[in-house]
Amino acid sequence: MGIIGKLFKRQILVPKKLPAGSFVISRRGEILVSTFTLGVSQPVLIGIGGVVMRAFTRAEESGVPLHQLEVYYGALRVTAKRTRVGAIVFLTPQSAFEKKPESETTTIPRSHD
Amino acid sequence: MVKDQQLEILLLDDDVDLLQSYKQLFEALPNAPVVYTATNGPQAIKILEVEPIKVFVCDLMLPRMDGLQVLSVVKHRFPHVRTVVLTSVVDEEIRSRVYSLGVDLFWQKPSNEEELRMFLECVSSLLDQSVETSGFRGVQNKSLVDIIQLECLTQTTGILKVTNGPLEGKIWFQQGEIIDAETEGMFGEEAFKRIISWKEGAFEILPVDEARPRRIRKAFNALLLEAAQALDEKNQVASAEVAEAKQTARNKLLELIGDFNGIEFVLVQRGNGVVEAVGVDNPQRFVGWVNQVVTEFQVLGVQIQAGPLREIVGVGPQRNLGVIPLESGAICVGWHFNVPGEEVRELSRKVFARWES
Amino acid sequence: MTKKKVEKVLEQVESFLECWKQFNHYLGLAHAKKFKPEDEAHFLELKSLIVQQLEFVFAAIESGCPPKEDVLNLISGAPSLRFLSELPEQSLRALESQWHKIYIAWLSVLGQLKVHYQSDDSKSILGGILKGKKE
Repeated sequence: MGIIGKLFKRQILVPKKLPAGSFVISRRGEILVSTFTLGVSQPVLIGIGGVVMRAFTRAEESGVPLHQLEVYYGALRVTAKRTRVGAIVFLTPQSAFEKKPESETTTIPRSHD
Repeated sequence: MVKDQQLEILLLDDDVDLLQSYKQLFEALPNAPVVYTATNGPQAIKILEVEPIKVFVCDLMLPRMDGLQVLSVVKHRFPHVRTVVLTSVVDEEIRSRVYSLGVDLFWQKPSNEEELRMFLECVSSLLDQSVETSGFRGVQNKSLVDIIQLECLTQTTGILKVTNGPLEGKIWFQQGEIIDAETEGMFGEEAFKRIISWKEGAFEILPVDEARPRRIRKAFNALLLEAAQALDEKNQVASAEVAEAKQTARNKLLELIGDFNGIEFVLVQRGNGVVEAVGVDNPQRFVGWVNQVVTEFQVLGVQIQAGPLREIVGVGPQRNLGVIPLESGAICVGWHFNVPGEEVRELSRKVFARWES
Repeated sequence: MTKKKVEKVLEQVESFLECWKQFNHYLGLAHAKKFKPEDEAHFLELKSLIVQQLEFVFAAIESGCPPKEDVLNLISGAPSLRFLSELPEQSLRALESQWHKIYIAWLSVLGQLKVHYQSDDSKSILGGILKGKKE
C-alpha cells in the first residue's frame, strides 16, 4: 500500500482571501500609499493599478474620458477614481450570499429641518 | 509505439512525494506515457515550451504562481494541451472558476483505490484524445464523415457515440453497414442527418450491448451523399439567414434605444470581430476600448482569483458606459451623463437581458 | 535634497490634495443624504489614505505647512457619513468651510514647492523648506 497510502492523505486547505482596502497609484504605475496589510503583495496592487490606469488612458485617447471605473467580478469589486496624479483604487470583496439591491441609496430623514 | 509519437504527461505539484507516486502510476498506464514532473509554475511552463506534452495535471495550491495562474497561462500559450486539475480544495466557486478557464477535468485528490482507478482511467482517456479547436476529437484531423466512412470500410460492428456539448448521438454499425441512429428524440435517417450536421465534438466507439432493430436501410455512400447535399443547401440558406439576422439585430438595438431613457447607444462586439452598433457614428473608437478593458480585466480576474468578470461601469463628464462581457465579445451601452453612475450597472444589465431574450 | 526626491515629495503632496478633494465629495454625499454602504466603506478607506499621506508629507516638509492638527481634527470630526448626515446644517457648513481652508493652505504649499523646484536657486531655498538627509 506504499504508493496508495501516500496518495490518500488529506490536507486541510483554507481558501485564499481576496484583498480588501485601497491604494493610490501614480500615473507612472507606482503605489504612493496603501491601506493593505503586508500580506498583500505590491506586484498584485501594481498589476491592478496598471490595468486601471490603462483603462482610463485608453478611454481618454478614444475620446471618452472617464473619471470613475467600477469593475464587478463574482467575488470582488474594484472602484477606481481618476485623479490628476493617477487614481485612487478601492478593492471590496463581494460575498456570493449578499443580496443588495443594485441602486439602493440610503435616505435618512432630516432631523433638523 | 514510435518514439516520436510517445504520449507525454506533465505533473505539477509542490508535494514531491505525491509527484513521485503519481509519476509511477501514470507510467504504468496502458498508453505507457512519458511523465515529466515540476514543483512550481515557472518550471512547468519551461517544460511545456520544449516537450510535446499531451496532458497537464496541475495542483492548485502552489508556491510562487498558484495553480489558477499557471492554468490560465497554459490555456493561452499551449491550447492544444489537455488540462486536469488535481486538488484537495473542495469549493464550488473554485471548480466553476477552473472550468470557466477551459480546463478539461477537475478532480479532487482520490481518497481510496476506487477513486484513484477512475481518475487514472480519465487521464488515460484524455491521453488518447487530441485537442482540436474544431472537428472531432478521437482521431486527429478527421471529420465525422471520414470517421463514419472508416467504420464502414473496416466492416465495424459497434456503436459510434458522438457528443457535441450537451447533445449526444449514437450511430449503430453492423458489419460496416449503418443500421440505426438516435439523437434528440429522433431515430433512423433523421437522427443520422442531424448528427452528421454537427461541426465539432468528441466521439468514442462502444461495443454493441444488445441487438438493435434496423431502421436505416440505405447504403452508407448514399446516406453520406444525401447528408452532404443537405448541408450545402443549409449553408446557402444560412447566408440568407445571416443577412436577415443582422437586420433583426439592428432592429432590436433600435428598439432598445427607444425603450430606455437616457440611452445614447448600444454596441455589440462579437468574438469574430463583427460589430453591431446603433446610435453611434464611429463605433470603432469604443470597440478598441471595450476590447482592451474586457480582456485585461478578465485576465486580471484570473490572476487575483476574483471570479468571473460581470460588468464594467465607466462614469465620465460626457457619458457613462456599461460594459457586459459576452461568451465571445461584449456589449457596451452608452448612457447620457445625467444618468446616475450607480444606476448604469443595473440599467445596462436590463438592456443586456432584453438583448439576450 | 536631490531633484528626484523633490519630485517624490511633490507627487505625494499632489496625491494628498487629490484625496483631500475626494473627502469633500463624500461630505457632499452626506449632506445630500445619498450614500450607500459601500460609500461608507470607501470613506473610511479614504481617511486612512489621507492620514498616512499626511505623515509622509510632514516627514518631508519641515515648515510652511498648515498645522497637522487641523487636518486630523477635521477627520476626527467625521467618523462616518451617517454621522455627518445627521449633523445640523450649520455644523456641516462649518466642516465644509474648514475643509476648504485647509485645501487652500495646502494648495499654497504645493505652489511654493513647484516654484522652488523650477527655479535656479532651488537648492539653497529648498533647503529651508524641505528636510534633507545629509548626503
